Amino acid sequence: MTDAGPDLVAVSDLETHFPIRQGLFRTVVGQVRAVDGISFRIGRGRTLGLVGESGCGKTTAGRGILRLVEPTGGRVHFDGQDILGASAATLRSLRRRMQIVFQDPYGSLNPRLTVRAILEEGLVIHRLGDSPERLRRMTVALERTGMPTAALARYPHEFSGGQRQRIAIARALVLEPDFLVLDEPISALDVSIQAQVVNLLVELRQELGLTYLFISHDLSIVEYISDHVAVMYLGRIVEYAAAVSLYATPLHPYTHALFSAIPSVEPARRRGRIVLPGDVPSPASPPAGCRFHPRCPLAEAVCRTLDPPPVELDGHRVHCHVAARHLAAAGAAEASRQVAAALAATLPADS
Amino acid sequence: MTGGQPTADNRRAATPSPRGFWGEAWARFQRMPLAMAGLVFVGLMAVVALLAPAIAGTKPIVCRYKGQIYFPCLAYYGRSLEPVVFSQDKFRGEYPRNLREKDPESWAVWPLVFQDPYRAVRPDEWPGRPGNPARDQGRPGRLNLMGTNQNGVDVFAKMVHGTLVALLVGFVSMGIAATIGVTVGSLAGYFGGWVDAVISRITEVVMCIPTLVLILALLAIVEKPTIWKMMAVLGLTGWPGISRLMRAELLRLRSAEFVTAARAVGASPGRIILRHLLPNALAPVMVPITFGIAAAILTESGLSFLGFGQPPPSASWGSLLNDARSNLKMWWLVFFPGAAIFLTVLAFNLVGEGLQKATDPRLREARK
Amino acid sequence: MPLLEIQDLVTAFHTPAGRVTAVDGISLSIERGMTLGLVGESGCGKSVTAMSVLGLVAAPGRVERGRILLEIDGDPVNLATLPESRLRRMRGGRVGMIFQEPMTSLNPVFTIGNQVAEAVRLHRRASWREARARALELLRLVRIADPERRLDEYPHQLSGGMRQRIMIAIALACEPELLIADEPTTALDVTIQAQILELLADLRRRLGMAILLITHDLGVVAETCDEVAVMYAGKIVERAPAVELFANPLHPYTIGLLAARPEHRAGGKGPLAAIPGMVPQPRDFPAGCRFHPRCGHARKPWCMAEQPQLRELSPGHFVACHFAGELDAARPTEPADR
Repeated sequence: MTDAGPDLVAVSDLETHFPIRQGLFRTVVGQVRAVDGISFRIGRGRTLGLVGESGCGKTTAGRGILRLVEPTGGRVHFDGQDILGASAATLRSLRRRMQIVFQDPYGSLNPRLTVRAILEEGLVIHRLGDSPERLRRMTVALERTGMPTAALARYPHEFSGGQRQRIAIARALVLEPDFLVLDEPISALDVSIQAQVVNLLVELRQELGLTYLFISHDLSIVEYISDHVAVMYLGRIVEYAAAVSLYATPLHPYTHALFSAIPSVEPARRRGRIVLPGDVPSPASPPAGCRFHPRCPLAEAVCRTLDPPPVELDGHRVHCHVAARHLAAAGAAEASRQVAAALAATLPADS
Repeated sequence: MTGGQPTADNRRAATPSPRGFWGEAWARFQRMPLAMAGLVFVGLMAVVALLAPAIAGTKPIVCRYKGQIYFPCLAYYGRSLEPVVFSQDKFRGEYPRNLREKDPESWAVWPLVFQDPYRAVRPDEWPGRPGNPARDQGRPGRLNLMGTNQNGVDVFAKMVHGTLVALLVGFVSMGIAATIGVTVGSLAGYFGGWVDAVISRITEVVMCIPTLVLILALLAIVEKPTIWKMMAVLGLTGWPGISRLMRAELLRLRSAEFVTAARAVGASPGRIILRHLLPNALAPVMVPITFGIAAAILTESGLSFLGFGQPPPSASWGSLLNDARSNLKMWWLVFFPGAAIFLTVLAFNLVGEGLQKATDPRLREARK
Repeated sequence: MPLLEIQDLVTAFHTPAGRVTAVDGISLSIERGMTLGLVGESGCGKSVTAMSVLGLVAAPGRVERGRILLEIDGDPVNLATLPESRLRRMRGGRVGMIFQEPMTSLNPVFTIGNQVAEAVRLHRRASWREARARALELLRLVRIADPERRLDEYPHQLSGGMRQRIMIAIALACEPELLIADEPTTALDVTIQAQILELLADLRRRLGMAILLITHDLGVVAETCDEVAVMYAGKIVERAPAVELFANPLHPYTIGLLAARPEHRAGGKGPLAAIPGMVPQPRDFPAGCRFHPRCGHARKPWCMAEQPQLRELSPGHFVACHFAGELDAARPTEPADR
């Protein structure tokens, strides 16, 4: 069934489980459920932000879409074509159209190769153009990312983190892809450089009509750059909405906690911080019922036993029994206020 | 357009000369005096080894005989390289007199030292010179710079030609070991799973085989223990250490992000191994290979000393030590080869250590 | 007298490629019970400053100049000239330190209880049993759940947030008067960071401890610090009480950092106000004001030729800029169009 339409990327119930092996014969004793059933769509030219903390599975999800990690379940369609069932040859040709930029500018470039060799690799593998044509493409890609063509003859270690990340972006662009997975592309960069690279990404998206999956733990940047945002926790999406809606009227208690945890220079934002108790449980043994319930200040009896089904209103989707109840009763804005109030009520008195 | 414009800083991107990893390692290596000394010594050895027939020998480097130019010294590299005409004319290896007698118009350019590594020089072989003394009389002297052994064979000539043997043993046997080790280790490291399991078990079995015992056993079975057979055996038993190191490096590098980046761009496993993994993995492996060369030379010398090397007459340093066993009063049979072995092993060890420090990634400053 | 006073500290590294000055003459003071934030990006020298206080700068680095005065029983002691044996008594004793990477700061082959107890025994006479009891007390102090069980666990069995709490417990073992925290929450998730920051605030209240907090995150500084010093390229470019700094930043670099955050913009989706150019490496510090190549307000010839000194522009608010106070602070630095 082809899934053509305005959506470039369509993900359904994506699962990636890693087996845990123990013992002499390496028997499988459990599964790490890194990604445990997520679904979303990204329209052409749109940007989906995927936020969450470490261990939530966002990086695994991003790589799973490109099959850099093999998903163990679900469906991924790129421009109507099935990715997970594709043959090696089809996948190879599809790889041209979907590229990835990694978090670590120091690890993602082969230190033994010149920048030219790094950029040229994709072109050579896919046999795109002869040598002058490849040089032209590489020069264009470098210029687009604000790097000089003299960089071609140099080695990665001669550049700073921000420059290397530009080279990494140029490498992704040189194949002229339609879709770019950006896996925490600015987290490892200095603060004063982050804004530069974000501006660059926005410009490129505009110029080249790119579609982005922007993975990050930095909520403010995600808000700025995304059209839609999905919040992940322990391998599942707990909330999905247009960026504007998510930040204006968050519904899920975890989303509220994430927002309130961000330290801010503006005093107004600092009142009533919600500090979640405990740590993120291990993806190898997720809690029963709602995965967030052990840490949720609003957990009720039903949360301990029943996995919350998605409830959606006007494109704003949430997986939470409590929030869903308020949503059904009063709409998103009011529901958000009520959840916030309920959370505030659980704070210690001197907060 | 704040993001995309090249700013002044971006234009002035980097230092003047782009040096790759090996360029920088070489620069660091050059700053280590001991390592450079070792390298110079090895270089000198290589020169001596290559030019051995020109340094010490009884065959002319080049001569003109009956109107033709010949290079009889090549016979030292291989018996078949001796020009046929000389055996036809019954020279029997004695060139000075025969050349003069059989062709008065002949001329020859002689090696620096007229001595032979395989036999004693006979009296009057070189007109006016006595033959090589034998037994205790063979002290180092003007004609025999490092003395002679019991059979009158000149020690200096044996030392010079032995250099070639030593280097050959070192490089050929380690070459074999390195080729096998790198290939096997990369496959085990990259593919993992059952490939790794099988290869690792084989590696462990080979590792358990005592090298020296195996060599002795093989040499006993084989009719003609030549130096090449010994090198083959050393190579075939010396690869497990290198294989394990390659495997470890590949396991580590396999999850490096630039490898994932290469896969994202569509690279096949072969391309990833050859272009991305091996160049990054080879640097740490070079070090044990260097030490292995020294070890191979030591092993060969040891075997020759015990009498298991090439049968006499052989031009190897160890064989000189073997000669010394029966008569320790002939100190020159112990001192010169012993010093040469010591210095050679030391030199390779210094080079290996220097290589290790020069390629150590922790010393690379990470810019941020 | 302040608890810690750093006067004109210079720390340099003597590498084969030459002398690299990581900290180029900075002065700070921390009063008892106060939290001072030292903010800056990579390469600015903030971590080296922290290490210099306790003499932990790794060779080939050395404190070359300056005084580091710690007030002990009413008298200032210059840590920079103390012999190693006395300095060792300071470390963990009067001055505690926690680092960025809790995983690598804890020894993986010893239990948590062992490591915390060791910290106690290093500075006090205590038997292993007493030290273990104190370790238990400390784990409770840093709010670790189920502390008896944790005492016998190994670092790899704990999460990042918990390990950082252990680090704090170790640093607090001897009730230091000053805690130096080098990027304590950078490696942690934001919800865990909130927990740790809250813990630090609580400990400060209860123990009256002074904290030198090193970070690159302005938000963290705004929430936890009384005073802030902004570092750039080995020098302090601005210093002020936190409230004042964020309400009224005066140095172009500080203004730029604050302006570059997305939440700063009141709305609209134009490009972020990025600071152009790159953070200079210690080897390539520019002449004159070190920020001038990236500064939209730089003017010839002063900014290129002369390094500005810290001047007090309003009570307690120091800025190192030739034109501070004359800049339109509301307008963030713009890309250089000169």
